[in-house]
Amino acid sequence: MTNSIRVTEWLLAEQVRHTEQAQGRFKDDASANAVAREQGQGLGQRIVQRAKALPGAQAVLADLGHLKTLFVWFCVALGLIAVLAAIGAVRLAIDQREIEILAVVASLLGPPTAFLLLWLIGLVVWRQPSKHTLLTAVSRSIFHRLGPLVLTGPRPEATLAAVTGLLLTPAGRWLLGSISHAFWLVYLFSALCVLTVLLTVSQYDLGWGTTLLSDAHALKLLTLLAYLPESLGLISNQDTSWLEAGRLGVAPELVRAPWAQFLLALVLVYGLLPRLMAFVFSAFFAWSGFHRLGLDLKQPGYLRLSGLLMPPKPVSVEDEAFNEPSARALRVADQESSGVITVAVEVGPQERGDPLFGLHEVTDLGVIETRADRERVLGALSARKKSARFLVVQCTARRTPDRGLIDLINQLADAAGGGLIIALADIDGLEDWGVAPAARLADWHRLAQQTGGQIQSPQEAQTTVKGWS
Amino acid sequence: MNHPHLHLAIVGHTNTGKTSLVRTLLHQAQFGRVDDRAGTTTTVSGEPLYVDGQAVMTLYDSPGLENAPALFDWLETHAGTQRHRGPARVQTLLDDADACARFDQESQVLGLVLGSDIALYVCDAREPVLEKYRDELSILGLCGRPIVVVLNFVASAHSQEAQWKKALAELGQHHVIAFDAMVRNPVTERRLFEQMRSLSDAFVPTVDVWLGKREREEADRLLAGVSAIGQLLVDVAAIQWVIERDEPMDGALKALQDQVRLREQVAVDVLLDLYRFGPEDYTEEPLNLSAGRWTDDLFDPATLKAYGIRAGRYIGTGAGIGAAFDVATGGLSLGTGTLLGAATGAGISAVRQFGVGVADRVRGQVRLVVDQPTLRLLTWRQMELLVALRQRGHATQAPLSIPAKDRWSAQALPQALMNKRLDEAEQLRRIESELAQAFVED
Repeated sequence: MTNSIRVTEWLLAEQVRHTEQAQGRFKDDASANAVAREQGQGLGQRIVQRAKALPGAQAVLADLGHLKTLFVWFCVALGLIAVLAAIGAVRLAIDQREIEILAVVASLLGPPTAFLLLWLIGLVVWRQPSKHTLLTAVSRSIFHRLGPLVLTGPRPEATLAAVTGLLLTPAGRWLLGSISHAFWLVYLFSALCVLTVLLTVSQYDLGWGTTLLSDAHALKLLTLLAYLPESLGLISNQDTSWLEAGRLGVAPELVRAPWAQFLLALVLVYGLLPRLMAFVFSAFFAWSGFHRLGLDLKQPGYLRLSGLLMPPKPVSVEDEAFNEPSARALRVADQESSGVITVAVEVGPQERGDPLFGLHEVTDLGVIETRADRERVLGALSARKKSARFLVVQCTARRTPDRGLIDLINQLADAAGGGLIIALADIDGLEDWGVAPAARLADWHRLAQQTGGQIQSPQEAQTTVKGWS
Repeated sequence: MNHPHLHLAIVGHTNTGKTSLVRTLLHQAQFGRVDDRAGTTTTVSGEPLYVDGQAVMTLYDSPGLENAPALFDWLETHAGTQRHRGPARVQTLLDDADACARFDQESQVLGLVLGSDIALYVCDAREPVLEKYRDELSILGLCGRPIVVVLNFVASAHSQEAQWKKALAELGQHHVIAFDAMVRNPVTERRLFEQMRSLSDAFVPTVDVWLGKREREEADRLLAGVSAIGQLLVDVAAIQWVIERDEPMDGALKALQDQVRLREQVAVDVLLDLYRFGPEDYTEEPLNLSAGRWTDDLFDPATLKAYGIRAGRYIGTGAGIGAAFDVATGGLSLGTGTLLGAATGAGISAVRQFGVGVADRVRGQVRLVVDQPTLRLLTWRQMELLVALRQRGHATQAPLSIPAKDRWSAQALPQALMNKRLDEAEQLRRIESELAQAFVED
């Protein structure tokens, strides 16, 4: 998860993710990506900025507004249903002048209490509200059935998937939980109001009765039920005689008012108060969840964007580019030069190949491997009275020519005088060596320009030397 | 948390793969320029590595050393009374304008190493151990910074790893690691950083926090890759086309196949993006992924065969996809059996799910879905791609290769895919879990 973002932004980003999951990345997302990169915050924020800058984002935002309105109307409808259900339930519960209080309490508080217990069990088992609730199913169904009717923007199926996804997040589940509790709160509050009105304007005989239990057990149950309302100061003067007097058929006219208060207190304490607590609890977690809402950046649809939206920030190091060694004119032998000198440079033990030439006027100075070899060869070249017709430097194309080699060949060629042939072996095996032949040969030709020599294969060099001699 | 910032200089002879190493360590194919030419990198450039928004280290790429023998001689000549004070000798060089002009590349590299905490010396293990390389290491040693020698190209048949290790030991360089910059191997990468950690106690927390981040990234990327494949499977398995029993099916078949191909391409793109490769990384064909696109058609029976997956009996009897289309487009009133045959040959099957098939039959309809062999191919070739991408270095310019296509051929489809009672999220979670398990077992 990342830094918190607004719910609408979350939905927009999810809508884009669902779209790209089905159809691939937007083909024209370059400018949106640039906008996101300029944002300069974390990946989550950049994803949101990208989603906002993509084509069609405004239409999707408008659709989300429509769905929000639909959701509000859905909640209002739920509220109306709760009110009507409460009126119906109360009318059914007290349809006669003689009311059995335990039966009324059971019929009014039974369903909400059962649902509350189920919700609590789910909370204990899953540590967050279950996603398999009736309200979740109803909400999803309504969004999927009515959603397409109100959506006018592009890719409505992705918009609906995003909204459904929101409802399945922990914050969304707490929200649905809050709505569920709000429904029952309205139901119970309406029931309490209706009961109050009816008990105020009509005369009922309230009391208790039992068929299965003994009177003593029924009294014990009533005493238990009365404990909490009495503790909260909602009823008073509770004593055994008053409860006993509530037995149906025993002078009900004496205890009508206390029993009416008792019934209202029971609905309030065992119906409204637990629901209110559950509502506040859920609403707090929903609010806090939406406050911390972040994109799941481990989703492939988001993680794939990290390279694109979080590009490297190279450190600028103020170094100047180097000057290339300058090219020099092709070396040519003068009229008085004579003989051919060969020397191998930067070749490994098995890389020199067959001895070259073997002609009468060819002097082989061996291989330059070390400083001492270099001094020896340079000394031998300087000691010559005449410049050489050709200096043939045997190299392998496996080496990358570098400035040190250019310096060395120039020193050798200067000391030898005459023309310079660079007999380059192993050209054919470059691909096997793992090098692109064209690139490597280009480097060697550059070296030839910078040393005034000619690149030849060993066979070509042999022919050149033979031709001269 | 604040960790000491580690400055890491990548140095070495020209064209030994320094920039490639940086790319591979950064997991970024866009860093610098990689070429087989010498002197491709001409300036020092750095790239910070971030953990939770904080730069914990910087990798510096540098131009190659090209004239170490002459530089070595210069330093020897100008050692004066500071023979045993390496950094001071290097500083003498850096203070000398003429020397800096003559050894411009080398002086930049030496300045970089002096300002860094650790140097990684990259050498090409295919090369013989020439004296100039020994000179380079001797010169770098004067900087007084810990050096880890990275033997690149060790996977080559021409690698002279043993000779290099012997020569390096003679030079007193015992922190050596074989690390092929073209191959991305999390284990080797970790070992490289562990070598660095062993060289400097001060940077142990820095290296540890970076390694922790790398491990998390690696795991996240793998899980996201598996998730992308799982989503592909769920989406493709859900694609259905309903046609009338007597209706020619070529149009529906083509539309369904196009839909599946598009969805597969989306998954390929996601995998490439996750590992920060682009279609431009692939220019040739040996792995059947050309320019970021599979070249083996998903619905070509030969593709199934290449992956060792047994297709339906119609393919085996020669009634391949072409024949199936010919019959279907003939406008004949085809029975369901013929339709089934044609569909199977095209990687499609008529489905009879509980309830649905009966309803379809009553309505005189046939419901087309992608068949199981095709789903298997779809799954396992993305898994192959995932394996290949995980091992691909970001400096690699050669085409991606999938060595053993049929490695997954014995693998069945995830069981959760067939479980219609699961909701989509739970089904996807279980499929991902099964695919990840298969990946680990492989």
